[in-house]
Amino acid sequence: MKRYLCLICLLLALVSGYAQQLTFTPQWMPQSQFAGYYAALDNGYYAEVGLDVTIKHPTASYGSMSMLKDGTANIITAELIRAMMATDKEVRLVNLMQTTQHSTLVLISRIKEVESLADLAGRRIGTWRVGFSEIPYMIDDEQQLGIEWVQFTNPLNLYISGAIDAALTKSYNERVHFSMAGITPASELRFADMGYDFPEDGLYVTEAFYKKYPEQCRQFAEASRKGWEWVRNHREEALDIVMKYAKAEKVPTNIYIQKWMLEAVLQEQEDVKGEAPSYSLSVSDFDRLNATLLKHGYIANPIVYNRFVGGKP
Amino acid sequence: MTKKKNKETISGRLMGRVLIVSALIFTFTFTLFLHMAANKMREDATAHAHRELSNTIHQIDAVLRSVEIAVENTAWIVPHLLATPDSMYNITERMLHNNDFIYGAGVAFEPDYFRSEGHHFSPYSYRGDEGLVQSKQVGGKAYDYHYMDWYQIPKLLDQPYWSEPYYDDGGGEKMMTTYSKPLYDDEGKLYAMLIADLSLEWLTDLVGGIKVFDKAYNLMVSRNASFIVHPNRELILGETIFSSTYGDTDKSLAKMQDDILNGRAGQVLRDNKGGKYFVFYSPVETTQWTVAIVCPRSELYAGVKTLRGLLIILGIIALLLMIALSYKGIRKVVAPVEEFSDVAKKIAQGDFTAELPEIRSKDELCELRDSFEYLQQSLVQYIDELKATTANKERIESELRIARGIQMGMIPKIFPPFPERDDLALAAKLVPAKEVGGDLYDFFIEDEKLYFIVGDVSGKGIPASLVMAVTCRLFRSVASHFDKPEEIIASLNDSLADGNESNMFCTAFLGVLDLKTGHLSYCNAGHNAPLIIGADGRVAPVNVLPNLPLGLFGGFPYEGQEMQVDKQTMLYLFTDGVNEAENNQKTQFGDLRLAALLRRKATLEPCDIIAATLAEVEQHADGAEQSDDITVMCIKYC
Repeated sequence: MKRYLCLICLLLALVSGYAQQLTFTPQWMPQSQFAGYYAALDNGYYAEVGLDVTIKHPTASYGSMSMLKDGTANIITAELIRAMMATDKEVRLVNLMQTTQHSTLVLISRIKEVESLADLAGRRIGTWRVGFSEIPYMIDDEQQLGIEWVQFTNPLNLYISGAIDAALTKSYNERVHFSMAGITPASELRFADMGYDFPEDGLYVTEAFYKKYPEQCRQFAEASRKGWEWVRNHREEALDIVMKYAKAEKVPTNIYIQKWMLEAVLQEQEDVKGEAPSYSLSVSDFDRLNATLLKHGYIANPIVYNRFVGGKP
Repeated sequence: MTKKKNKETISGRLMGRVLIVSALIFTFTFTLFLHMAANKMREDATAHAHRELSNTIHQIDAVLRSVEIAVENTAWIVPHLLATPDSMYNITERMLHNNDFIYGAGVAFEPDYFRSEGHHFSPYSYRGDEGLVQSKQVGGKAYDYHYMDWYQIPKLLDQPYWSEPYYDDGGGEKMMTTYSKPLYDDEGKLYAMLIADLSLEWLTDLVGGIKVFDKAYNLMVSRNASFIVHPNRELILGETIFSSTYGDTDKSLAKMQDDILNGRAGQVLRDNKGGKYFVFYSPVETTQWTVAIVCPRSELYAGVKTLRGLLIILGIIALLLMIALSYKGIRKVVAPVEEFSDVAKKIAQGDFTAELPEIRSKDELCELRDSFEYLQQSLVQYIDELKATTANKERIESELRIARGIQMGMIPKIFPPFPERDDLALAAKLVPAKEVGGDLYDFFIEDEKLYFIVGDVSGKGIPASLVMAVTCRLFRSVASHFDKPEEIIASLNDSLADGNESNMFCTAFLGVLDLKTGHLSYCNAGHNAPLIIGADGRVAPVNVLPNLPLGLFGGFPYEGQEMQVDKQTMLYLFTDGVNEAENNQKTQFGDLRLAALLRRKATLEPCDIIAATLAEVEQHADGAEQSDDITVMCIKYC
């Protein structure tokens, strides 16, 4: 009996000392968009709560959602629309944290005087292979614009070569690359100004994973939040961390792009400009998007907020 | 000493102006010259830079074109071997064997083109370790080539395409570019992309090797402005030529952005934190990548700087020389002016014959010398004339002084004239306006009768004094021969009228007072009426007939008058120099004022009354010049 007790004690000690291994996958290659997670990892915030986090980046053709579904990744970042659609159709997801509170979608065009998507009817518009384009698609469908959507992994050279007439970009990402390449678009449309200001990036796990490791999920979110707050207060150091990861993944970028991106991302995290971020998904934003997605058939059934945020059944 | 220090000189002023104007002209000329030289240097440097760029670009284009040719030469085989997908490897391997410069070659098929090969099928050959050609199928879920620029863009454009440079995924850190040629079936439908990969490592040596300027460096950017060649290798494919200037709204930057994006050659002057730089750039024709030479402005204009230094030194030397020469010249011109100044001073001091400076030139100074000479001559002549005139005037004045003595000697001037008599007090005074005058008075007693006369000759000065002298003499000689005043007057008139060609005349009042009886007989010849000052102080004019002044018409019938003079009564005679005496405001003394004066002074003795009269007239004149002779006679019958 004493021997068994010792064995149990030994096992418990091993279990308690054994850090939970987690694979985190952001939507894209290393860049300031994910600075909070790199900072949390580098500053040891995950380790502090007993999490052994590995960051595994997606490839250009195999995204974070795919990796979450096949189990390659445990925790991912995803856009709210994508996460709700996945919850409806593919796998139930739980929102652990909402970072970006606004739509960062910007359409730039080689054609002058474009004031709405309708002005590009029948033309080629570049869009991401990995998503982010549901709203433009909805407008195209609704107005029967007949837009030829050309999926890209990077719109810059498609745009420069003239292979596409316009491209969807993220204000903090591709849009900056265009400026850095010395391009001034003939027209520019911001979706947030067109009545489609929906929250974007958030932190997600599958509901199954959440149910299994609720505490770890909470700890990961909390440590990530800590990471983001550190970034907000240490922008120069945060940039160095981002550049380190970018270099390791051979991402063709530079500190100027990342600096600009970081500023934009941090600003988009503020629910109200100039105020500290809540890092939570607002019920009203959620309800508005829920209704929009239902109306356009992007989801079959309404998603329940309480289950989606916090995994309550 | 101080005065000399502050003294302004013409030569100093002229030198100042010459200096300023010359310095301005020099500065303007040099600036213009430097500007033109700088432009020329910039043009030369630009031409040189573009020549070098052009050479380099030709070399790059040659390599790229050879790749294009290799692909073109291979493309025709592909459709013949479609029956056996694996034979594609033969094609790609052959491409590498036949073209040393190609790093990799492949045939990337459209999705699901061969059922047997699945969604992705892209046979690819490349140079592996030690240059051995290796082959593999590279398409797959993790490498979905259908969305790579090299596949997607030529597909959308329906034309061959050079991809923008990228780092290969093989881990070799090799910078590559891919040439893709779309392949179409008989129906014109795209079925594959024939590609050739070209390593771009050689570009670094080629572009980096351009040596146009010592401190310049070269770079190359793709159409999306990413560095392909840069001295700092870390920036290659990481930064764009604009990333460090993001947000900069400089026009030169906008021009360069536009040019690079549209594959145009050009040059701009950029103002970076490190200084100003010229950027010369020109595009590669095949790919529209841009090769650029970045040269510090200072180096480009180093020649101008040297030239500027040289010109400044030359300019200073030229200015100094000019100052020295023009100072000498100006001094030569101006020195006579100073001599003229000295001569002028000597002339002012009376030396009219002071020697004038020698002027040989026929210019303004020569004219000035002539003028001075004329001035000297004129002055000498004038002074001579002045001396003669002055001597003449002095002589005349002396004569006048003598004449005045003579004239004054003609009239009684000892008062009281009859101190032994107690029945008569008499005083008279003549104040001529000039040295000699035309007024007269006289009196004498004969047979207890007092003969007296007061007169005023027309005009003043010498002519009047002569008539006065004649009248006085005639009165003395004629008066005692006649009993009645009118006879005396008539005699005087006839004498004066005789031969009076200049129409001089003389007013006169002549009276004969019988001292025993107080009977006064009198005759007036155009003179103003005397005044009677009664013992009671009343003043009244003597009733006189006007008659005519003496000397106008000989034989004129003068009419005499008579009156009785009471004891203690005074007879006051005067000429118009009294009542018509004027002050500066041309106001006359006046008969009324005279009468009032006499009333006030009625109790005084004749000599005092005369003194009071003259004093009051002088007071009235208030400094105004006396315009007429003044004569007053006062006779008191006691």
